[in-house]
Amino acid sequence: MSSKLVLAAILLILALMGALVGSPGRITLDVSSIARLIEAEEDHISPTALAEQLYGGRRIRLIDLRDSASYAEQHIPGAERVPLESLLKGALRQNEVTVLYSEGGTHASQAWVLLKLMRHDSVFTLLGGFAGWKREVLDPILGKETNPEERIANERRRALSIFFGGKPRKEFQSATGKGASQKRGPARKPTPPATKPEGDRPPLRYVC
Amino acid sequence: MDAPFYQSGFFDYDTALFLAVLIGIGFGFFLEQAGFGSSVKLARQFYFHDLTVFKVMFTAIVTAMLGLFWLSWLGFVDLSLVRIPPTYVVPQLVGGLVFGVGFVMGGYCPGTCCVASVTGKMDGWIHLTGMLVGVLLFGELYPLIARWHSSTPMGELTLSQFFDLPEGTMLLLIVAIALIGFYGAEKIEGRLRRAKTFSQI
Repeated sequence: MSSKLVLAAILLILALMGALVGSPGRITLDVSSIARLIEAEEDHISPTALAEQLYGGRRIRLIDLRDSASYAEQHIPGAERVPLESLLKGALRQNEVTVLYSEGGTHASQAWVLLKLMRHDSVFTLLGGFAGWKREVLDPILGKETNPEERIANERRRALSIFFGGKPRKEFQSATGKGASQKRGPARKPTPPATKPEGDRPPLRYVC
Repeated sequence: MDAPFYQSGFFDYDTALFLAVLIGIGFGFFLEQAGFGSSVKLARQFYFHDLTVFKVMFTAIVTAMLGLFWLSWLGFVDLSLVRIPPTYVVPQLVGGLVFGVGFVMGGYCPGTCCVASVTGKMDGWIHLTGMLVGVLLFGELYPLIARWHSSTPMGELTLSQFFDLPEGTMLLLIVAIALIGFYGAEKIEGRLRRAKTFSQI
């Protein structure tokens, strides 16, 4: 018997056994790698880090998971409102860097887990949700400037806030002051910060 | 210890990239050893003169398929961690057509043109340059075609899901198709060896 026939017979036997077995079995959900991402805090991005990336011109898809009224009232410039169900039905492209946000973050985190289980690699949530974005980027409270580092940090936060249509406040100003709840859109790009800003979370990266 | 090792956290991203280079070199070496560094040999398959490429590719498909099926069944591979590229019907049909036309015209596919380039073949370098220019153009024009590129999505679809058959049955069908294909390829090559002209095939 020629070696070709022997190989063909082996293939056929393995395939026939496979047909009898039916399923390769032992398929588990990819929960451990998802848990590792959460523990390593690679599941989210902070509002400031996101703002820096957007300010730097990085193309990031922003998904607003809040209701349409909240979205109409105010949203992160460039964000699109996508209901969770549409999101799971293929509204996202694989490997497209995407940041999800809801009002506080819970809803976005739930969506993140579902998308991870569907093997979307480049999905992140916004830490603190839209509330965090407002607090950290739109209406940051600028601290005292007792040294050059603090002044540079304030400059940076002010530039980001104005760029995204917010209004930075000094430490002594009221949080509910004028402009805090106004409808906003992207503003004229202000003068870039004096130094390269650094995010307080690891930057987004593609994961294969 | 479960495979795939990178997804299971067995090694980190940098190690994965390093291993990818090693595997790539190994892949290139064996492509060259199989004679796939020659555009003449590769192009001959489209005229049914040399069906080595068909046989090698189907052998690879069947080996990987049986390997994954049985290694998963034995518990060495977690199939849920094996990445399945999502299906987009129309863009992938068009992409396949472009790929096929390029293969027939140039005599190389992306992997084999790299192999031909490093062995110093001029046509390999030209093909490689064309491929890189194509990649650059695609990247630059992507915003214009992004919507179309993600049209007709079917998700991470496998053949067994599409035909609604158990994986084992699909396995048997594909192995049967491969064996019939191998038999047919040998017959065609045998006839060609005996025939003096193409019309006698």
